[in-house]
Amino acid sequence: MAAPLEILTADPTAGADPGDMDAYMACGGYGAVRKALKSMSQAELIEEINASGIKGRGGAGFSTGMKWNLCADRFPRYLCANADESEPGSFKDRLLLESKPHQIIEGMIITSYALGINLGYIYIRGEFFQIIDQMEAALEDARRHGFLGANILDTGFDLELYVHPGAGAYICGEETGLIESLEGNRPYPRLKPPYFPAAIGLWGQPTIVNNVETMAQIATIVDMGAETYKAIGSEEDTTGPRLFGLCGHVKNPGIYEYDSGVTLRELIYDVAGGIRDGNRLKGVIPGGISAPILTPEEIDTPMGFGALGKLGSMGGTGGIIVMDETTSMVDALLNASSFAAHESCGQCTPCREGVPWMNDILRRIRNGQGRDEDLDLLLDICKQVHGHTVCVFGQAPGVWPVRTILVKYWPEFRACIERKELVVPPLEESYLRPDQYEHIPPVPGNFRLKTDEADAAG
Amino acid sequence: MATITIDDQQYTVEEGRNLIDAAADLGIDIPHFCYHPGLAPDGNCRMCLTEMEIRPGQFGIVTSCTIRIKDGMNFRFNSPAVLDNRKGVMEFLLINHPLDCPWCDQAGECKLQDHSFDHGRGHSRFVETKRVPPKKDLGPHITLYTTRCILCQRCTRFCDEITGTSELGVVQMGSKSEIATFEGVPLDNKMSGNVADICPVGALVTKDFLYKPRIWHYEKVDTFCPGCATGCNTTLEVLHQKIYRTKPRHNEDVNGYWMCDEGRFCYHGWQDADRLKAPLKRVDGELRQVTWPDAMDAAVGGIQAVLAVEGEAAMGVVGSSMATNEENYLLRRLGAEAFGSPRTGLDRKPDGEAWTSKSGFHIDADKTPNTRGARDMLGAGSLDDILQGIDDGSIRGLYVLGGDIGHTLSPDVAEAFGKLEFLVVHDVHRSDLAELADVVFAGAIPFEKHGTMTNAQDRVQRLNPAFPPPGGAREDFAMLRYVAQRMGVDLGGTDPAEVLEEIAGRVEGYAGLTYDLVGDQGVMKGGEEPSEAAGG
Repeated sequence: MAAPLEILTADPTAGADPGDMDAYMACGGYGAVRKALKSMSQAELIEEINASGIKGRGGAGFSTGMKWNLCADRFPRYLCANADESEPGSFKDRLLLESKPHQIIEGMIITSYALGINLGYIYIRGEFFQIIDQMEAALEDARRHGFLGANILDTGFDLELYVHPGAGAYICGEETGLIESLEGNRPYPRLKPPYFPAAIGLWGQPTIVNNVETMAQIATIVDMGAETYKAIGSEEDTTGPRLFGLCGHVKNPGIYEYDSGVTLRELIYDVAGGIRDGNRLKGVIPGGISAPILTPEEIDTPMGFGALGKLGSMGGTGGIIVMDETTSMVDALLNASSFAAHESCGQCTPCREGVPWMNDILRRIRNGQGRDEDLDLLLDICKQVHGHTVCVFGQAPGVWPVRTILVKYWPEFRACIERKELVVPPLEESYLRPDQYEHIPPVPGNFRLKTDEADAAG
Repeated sequence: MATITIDDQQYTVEEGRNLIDAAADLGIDIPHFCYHPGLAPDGNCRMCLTEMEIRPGQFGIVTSCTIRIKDGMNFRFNSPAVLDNRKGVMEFLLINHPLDCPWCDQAGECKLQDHSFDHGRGHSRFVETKRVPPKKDLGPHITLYTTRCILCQRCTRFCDEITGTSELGVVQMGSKSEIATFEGVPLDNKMSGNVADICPVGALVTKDFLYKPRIWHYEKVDTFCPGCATGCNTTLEVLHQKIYRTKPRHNEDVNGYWMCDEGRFCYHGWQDADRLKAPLKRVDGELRQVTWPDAMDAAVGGIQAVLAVEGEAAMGVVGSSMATNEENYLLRRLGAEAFGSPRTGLDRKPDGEAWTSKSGFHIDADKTPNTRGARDMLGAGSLDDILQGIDDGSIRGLYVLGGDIGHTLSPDVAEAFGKLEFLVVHDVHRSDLAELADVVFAGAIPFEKHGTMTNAQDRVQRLNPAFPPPGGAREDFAMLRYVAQRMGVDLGGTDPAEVLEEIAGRVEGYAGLTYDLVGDQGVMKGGEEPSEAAGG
């Protein structure tokens, strides 16, 4: 059993209000900023982050060091901390924003210093209005203490940070959608290439968009040093502590901090106290709704980006949604699909039309009007959307849940269609075993039935 | 130039051009909806996805509209991945699209229809309920059939990039997205009609062209707009001697892909005017409809009477910026050779408003098409000279080309003309000018004429008739020749092409011009290239 960590979840103000800057500083707060600005060069800092092996915590698990290295050699550069947390099942950013506003600011100051950035934004989900106020106050405190503004700590380094309230759409969290939103436009994600805002971002300038948890972890890395940080977790799965948010049918939902080697089984049964009412597990989404679902047979996996990727799922946000045997997977998928249909931005054809169409079909199946051909039709629509959209939204929350839940819980969908009503079959008859479907790498969620077995099972 | 590979075949194309245009140059059609050559690419429709070699041996999906050609690029236009995507996009665009082609005004020129035929499935797998958002009145000229919209956003980009007025935007999200205006701010700019042209489906329509005959019935006539001195190149759609629609015709050096609303709808003013369908002669102080021989006798008789009594040079000629170069040229020769008078003038209507769009599209202040050309043809004279001549009694008769339905004489001109002993006028309706005349020849409007005109940029362009003049009205060109002939002078060229060749030999700046050289895109006077592209 992995040991719990207390790094990101440590109380930064020893019981005082998390926004209390004096209390934070009394507990060693802003030490990372002092260390970085006073004793490290920009190159040393970048090397430190590279050496730490941290993967970004936004969901894709992209190496933070690599993202920084992609930053085009042009100025001004901008920083955007992405706090538009809206992936269903995810609530770890909210916890950090509420409990560690100053650590996030620290990370942003260090990042800006390392990359020669003088202006940054914290793009906070619009519904987090209380957090927006708290963060504004925290920035004001930091400014008053000389950690923001001109000539920070007498190093000649200038930085301003601003809060930008989100515009209330999931797509604002897509990094180029976020940039469009910051510029005052509809948050339509930008066409790729250019693939990275680090090349062309906000106002056409190199821009680093990092998740807020990543920002907080930057301060941690500087604080403890890359060597110590790197010892937590593994390079493949990501180094450093991870926050796992367990929700759904577990006895003790909440945010737990472990390294990425902890297994899903441990998190569900040991950490979160197991399934409610002594029920059996039916399925678990390991990292926010976009992360392809795992069946009860697949939960002995470490929670790292690499390990989950091998199963055709992904690390995602660490928001774990646990569903017990009473759950209708048809209903669950309908729910996920309704979210995607509602949140599709509407810019490009396949996502705008395909994702809501799948939602319509799923609603029909759920209401007992499914047709024999509907499941194949759904898979075909998935194929028509996948890889053909402007951004990854069409496939991540749009296609992956449909394709994965449909394939893995094929018998349950078949039963719903055959009996023309919503049925929750006995657990054993509701899902396929891992040898009855296959994942086609490298993209997550690209599952295919091994047809004969599926028909036999259905 | 760059060498690229498409489906294992090598081609040489212009470097830096986008893939859709480069392929079109080669005669290869890449289906697309949102891309328009006059607008920045947006890549939202996903119809133009093709496969490009990203790493040696590895192909990836790219939007053709955003790919700029570089040497060595390797594409697949017909791979299963590409064809499957097109089929998919077609299906997605059609699931919520109404099947109202039988009464949709776009039918026959609809990209959705065309691409559906080429790339669609032929049957629908959609059994859900279609979205039915309500129809919207967007502005004075434009209606949005929201159900038909495929959200390609050409219209919003047009209002952002070309007019800079940004009236159109998208409201709502996802499948509920709709093109809309802000409340109280209608789509009311000087170029709004263009959004109907560039809409690839029947969503944006001009109210003017709503429920008109089907588009395949029209005869298409390439000409240019007589609404101002810009001379936007146009195509008229004509049926049964009536214009139903004007569309801009691409000319990068004049109007780009666009035209203004004033020009687009100006055919109504001309077409609906109460036209003269026979010549008029003053009898007992009143203008009466007469036969052509009668009118011609009266005109020639009147002119000869003035010349006989007052001597040569007592007749002057006044040209028109509504008349072609050839007509103004023949008028000058008529004056010089038949009347023995070098006195010429041009009655210009006062300038209106000039306007230049964000992208550089220009509406000229001169609301007539041929002021430059008329001046070039008429030589040094001016209306002031003519008025002076009338005042001092040296001019006793005038031969005036009218022909502008929107023009009224200024009081001093009307007063001067009223003093004349004899006035011959070419006009198209009973204008105040015609009311002063002794003989009125029923002439043709710009939509009924052959000939060339010279725009404000000094570009010589060809006018082509949509239909002949009504009833007994005639092209002014022919009447000028006939009057000269009756007075014993042969004006030479029997059609505008021949006259233009004569002009080319005699008028400065027109050397070397021929009808063929002017072609359908026009040519700069003196063979110069325009100083800057005004296309916008």
